Amino acid sequence: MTYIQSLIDAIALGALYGLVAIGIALVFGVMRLINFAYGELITAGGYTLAYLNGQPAIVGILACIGVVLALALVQERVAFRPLRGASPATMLVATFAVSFLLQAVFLLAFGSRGKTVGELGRLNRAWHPGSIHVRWISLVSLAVGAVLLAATTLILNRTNIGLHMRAAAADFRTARLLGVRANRVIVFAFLLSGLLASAVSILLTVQDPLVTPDYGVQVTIFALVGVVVGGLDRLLSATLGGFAIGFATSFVGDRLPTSSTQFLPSVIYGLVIVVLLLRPSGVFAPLRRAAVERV
Amino acid sequence: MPEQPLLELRGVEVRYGGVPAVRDLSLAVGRGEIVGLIGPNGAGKTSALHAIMGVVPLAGGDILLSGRSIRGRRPEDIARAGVSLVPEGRHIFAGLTVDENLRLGLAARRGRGGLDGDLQRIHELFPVLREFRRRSAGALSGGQQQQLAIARALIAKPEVLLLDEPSLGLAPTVVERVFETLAQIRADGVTILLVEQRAQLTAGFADRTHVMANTELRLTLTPDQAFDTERLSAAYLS
Repeated sequence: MTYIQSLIDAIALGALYGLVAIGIALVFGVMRLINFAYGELITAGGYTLAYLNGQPAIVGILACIGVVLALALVQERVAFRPLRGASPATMLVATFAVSFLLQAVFLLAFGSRGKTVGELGRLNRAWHPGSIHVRWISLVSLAVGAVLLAATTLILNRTNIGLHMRAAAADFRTARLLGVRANRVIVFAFLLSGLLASAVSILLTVQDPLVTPDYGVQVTIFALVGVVVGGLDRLLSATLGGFAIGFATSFVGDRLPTSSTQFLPSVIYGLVIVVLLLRPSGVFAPLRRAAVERV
Repeated sequence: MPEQPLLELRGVEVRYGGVPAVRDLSLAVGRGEIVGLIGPNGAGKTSALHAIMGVVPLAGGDILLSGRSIRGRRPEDIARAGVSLVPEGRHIFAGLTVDENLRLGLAARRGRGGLDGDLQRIHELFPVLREFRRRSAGALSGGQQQQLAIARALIAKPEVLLLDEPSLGLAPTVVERVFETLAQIRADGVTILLVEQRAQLTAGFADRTHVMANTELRLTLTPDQAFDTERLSAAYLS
């Protein structure tokens, strides 16, 4: 039974990492930019929720979404738009700079001790079907992950802006020659990835309620590793990669003896090295890459 | 007073770094005309088209659409102003379906009026695109992909259609079919600037054909001069 319980928790954490992976892959698709400052969107959402403790949950959730979307727009407009067309290395360094800058701002504004989010804590209560112990947050994470993945897929496949994003991801220059507005597509990608980051903030603060200046960094790095393992070039493979890393982290973490949990990152990164040696383009990337669609 | 050209290049200069790609290029395309631009590899033909579309910045000169300068405008704004490019190598989106590729062409279209009729006309010109509408564009043959690239440009209902070597890499019979289609498009009243390597075919087909060599315009031919190989060779080799 503990095996099934571990499985459910692992799927729930996988869903959360999958959401982060989609957010990173969406922006990468249209800008060829790996946004390391994505974690700070999650952190900003966490602080918003922490500062609205005591307010109705819906107020905190809406404010969290609003703040994260606004910060995503600011990142795009102030930091990344002026650098558009710069070399990939410059863009990458810029995302590190934005990440460190925002962490410093959080540190100055909110201190190093962290703020606690308590409003949605009741989702940590468990449901007991038989001898299994399932936290509601696991089920909610799973449901939210599935709904947002489906919604993102629908937007990409059924709307004009989604079509423009897919075209821009495949060949931005040709898309622009056809009249696709570069700014509109990129802003939309940032907004969509911001929306996903706000969902991650809400779900993550239930499981880990202490928000610190580097709160979103670890989940972002793990998800990023997952994205690379899955295959950065396709939304589906990136999502599966994110899911896989979350799943592996939770499942392996549960299976390791308590005295060995500090070795969890080593085990995960060891697995990653093996996977990348065997499938450098990503474990979920198609074998034939002749007609790759990136988003 | 002569009619204002729909598209006019005035002393256009393009440089990549310090290296000139187009020097002092002036030409005009009137409404409903088809103008050819031919020349050997490296003559500057594609760079001229890229300059019109705003893909590369102008180092000098000006480009006017209906008498108004489009210099410095972004590619998407130029497309929305009524200039469509069928790029060299087709650049269709292989991972999207045929219908999705066509829908992308709508991004530059001003208003949806008459869309059904235009789509019907496109399917008359290119029946294969209706037949394979749900098929991945990457699964089409080279000739079919070229048809899709032209159809995608036409669905935007452009004022001017720019074609960059539409016959490149196609079998002779398919090239013939492409030129027949261009004749039909021209009969529909679309203004065309056609960049080609097939010199005599283009010179015989267009209202007039400019010859570029070594980044400059060297000669202008009328259809009855298409087989004046002596002048053509001299211009190519000059």
